[in-house]
Amino acid sequence: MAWGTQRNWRWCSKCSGLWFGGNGVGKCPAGGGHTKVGSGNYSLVHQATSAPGQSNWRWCSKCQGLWFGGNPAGKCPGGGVHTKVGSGTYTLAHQSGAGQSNWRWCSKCQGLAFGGNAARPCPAGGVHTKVGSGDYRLPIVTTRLRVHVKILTNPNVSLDTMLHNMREVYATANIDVEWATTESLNLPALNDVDVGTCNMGVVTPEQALLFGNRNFVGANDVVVYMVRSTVPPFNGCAAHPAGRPGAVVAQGASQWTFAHELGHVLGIHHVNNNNRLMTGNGTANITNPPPDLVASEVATMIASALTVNV
Amino acid sequence: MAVTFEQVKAALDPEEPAYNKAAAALGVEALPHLARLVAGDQMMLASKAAYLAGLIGTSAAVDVVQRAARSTHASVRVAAAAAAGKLSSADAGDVLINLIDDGDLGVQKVALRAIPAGAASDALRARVQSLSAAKGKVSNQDLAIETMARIGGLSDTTNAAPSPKSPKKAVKKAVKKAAMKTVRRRKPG
Repeated sequence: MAWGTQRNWRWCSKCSGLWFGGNGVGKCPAGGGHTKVGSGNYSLVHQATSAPGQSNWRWCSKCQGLWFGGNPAGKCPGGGVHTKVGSGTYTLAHQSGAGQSNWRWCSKCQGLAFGGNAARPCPAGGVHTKVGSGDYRLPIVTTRLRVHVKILTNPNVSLDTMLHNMREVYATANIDVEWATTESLNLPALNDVDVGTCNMGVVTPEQALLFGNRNFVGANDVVVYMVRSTVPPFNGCAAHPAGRPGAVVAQGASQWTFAHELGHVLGIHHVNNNNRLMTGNGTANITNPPPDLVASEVATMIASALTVNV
Repeated sequence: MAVTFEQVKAALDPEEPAYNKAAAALGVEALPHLARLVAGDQMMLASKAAYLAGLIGTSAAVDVVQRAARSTHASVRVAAAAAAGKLSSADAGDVLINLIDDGDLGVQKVALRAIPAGAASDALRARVQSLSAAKGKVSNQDLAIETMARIGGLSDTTNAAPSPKSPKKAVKKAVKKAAMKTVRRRKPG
């Protein structure tokens, strides 16, 4: 349970391939090194144990490109074939999900190339092909939100699902959701936490105690406490002590509650529309998943001090 | 016009239901639907239904809360305990007398807090007094002591309540007793 995210993956306008821009420029099949000119900042799910999507994508340390490790290694512009030595495993949203679509697997070189432009040079000769490929979606991010999870009771909907759903919705606002840490807390006295009226700026003594558990949490990070229940019974509650941003989410919450409560923490409010994340009619009634964020909500979220530019 | 099941469910579906508004708008006609939700298999809705019944607060509402108090789901019993705190003193006592003996620490905590001050029966006081004397690794003993002070001792003066402690201190002490179990931290690969 848990996965990370890694940013600084880039589109190369010379070969259309995806490559990691955090090292040198690698080797481009179009000649010389890759370029990041004109590229957004792509974020990939990294080291997932159970995130939805297709796993076994690998970074090649010779060319810096991303390639699919589920088949025999394809030809590498750095010489020979791609290597997975030193690489983690990456999981890509496949056929659905938020982000830029039309990224394609090339069956000739096993790399990933953007299929929205004319095909560009492939290290295996000629140009990349999209024959046999599904449609991969890659989120382009401009800010990040760092989330810590403290578990008093595991939710009925898995954390993987809740965080994945949040990542998918927040990606539409170009916010990269980082699942930073997970910690189990044995605090039976706070497992059914009194949240009072659950109004922003007002907390009970129990909320104050619960939110005092901040191992590993940085100044602009948010914490979600997974509890068995709240008193009175809510799916979640985003009221938090000053300077300790976060929320509680109850065991019986829906798959969207986690993202919804952190939406409140970022400053957005209920709406009467079941196509949107911030529906005040219950996120279990969301009719067209993934739910939407509108431009004004995105602007508020991006303006929050908790979303940090990347 | 009769209140429908859909109206009741719509009031409880939000992440944070507006309970007072729902109780005022739906009233006693919601109770059969709340009973159905309490008996259903959706734990979250059952908890919310129990709490709303407590706010509606008639004798029929007591039946709904009592049913929730017998749920196999601890979180529904927690909601029943919270709901009991919204009932009349006599009705609350009938619900709470069983819930304060619940083997679940959270149910017991909320039940103790829900006991109305000044109107608890001797039987209820005796149960609380017994809890205030019980010792365990993790218990609500301190909260029971504080509750005894709040609701008053037994009629028999030989059973006077021990000196009170603040509820905040009681929670803090229980938290301190519980150790942090495991810590897992991710590292970038």
